[in-house]
Amino acid sequence: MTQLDVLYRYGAQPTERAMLALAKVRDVYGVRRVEFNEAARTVRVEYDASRLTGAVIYQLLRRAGLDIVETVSMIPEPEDVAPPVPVQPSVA
Amino acid sequence: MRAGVVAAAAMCALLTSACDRGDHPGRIGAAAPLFTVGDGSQTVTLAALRGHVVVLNFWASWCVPCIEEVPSLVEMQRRMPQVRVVAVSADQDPAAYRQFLTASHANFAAVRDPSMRVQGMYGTVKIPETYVIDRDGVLRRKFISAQNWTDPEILDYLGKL
Repeated sequence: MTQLDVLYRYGAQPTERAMLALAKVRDVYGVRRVEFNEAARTVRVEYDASRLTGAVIYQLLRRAGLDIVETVSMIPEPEDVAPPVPVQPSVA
Repeated sequence: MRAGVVAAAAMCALLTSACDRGDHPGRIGAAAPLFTVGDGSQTVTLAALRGHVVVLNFWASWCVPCIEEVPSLVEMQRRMPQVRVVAVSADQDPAAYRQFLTASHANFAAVRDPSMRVQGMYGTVKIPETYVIDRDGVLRRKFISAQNWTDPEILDYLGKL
């Protein structure tokens, strides 16, 4: 089993009907976890990549009524690092 | 000491029950649970299909992997009319269910079971899931997740039952 995570940001708050439909997404083979972060308006789905693809996960969420606006990268942005100071040749 | 034994027994019971979701080999080779299910427009009685190989598919129209395998189920049913495909849907919405069946030109028996009673009888908690039942009503194989039902291996398997 190859486990993957995908993170989406959604726009409109899901309706009650959509939330019920989204709860059912967990009943699909290969979907391991669905986590909502209401503050960040994101949903994170953990799935078995040997059974499902990211496109299927996207469709499952869209069909359930979630207003997905973008996929959020789960790779942290590199922190700003100061450029290395050039080494001055020492003068004897 | 005694508390430790009780805790170990409880853990063992929890682990074994968690593993038995219906795909336990013990279920294969046993008689398929008999059911009659109707949705007002269609009624399916499993016992009436005795003498036929039955492909019992649990699905829903909102389940993307489920609907992805429907075209191959339709094609398999066309190629193997002696096999009886029975698709039991967990759809709550009758309109979405009917619309999908019409659009997919389903050529097999389909019935809606929103209470998921039949699913429960088979221990199915996730979909799509499909059982193959032989002519004698014995569960012979379980397929989890979406399949290509026109795969030569599957056609060969069904043809030999």
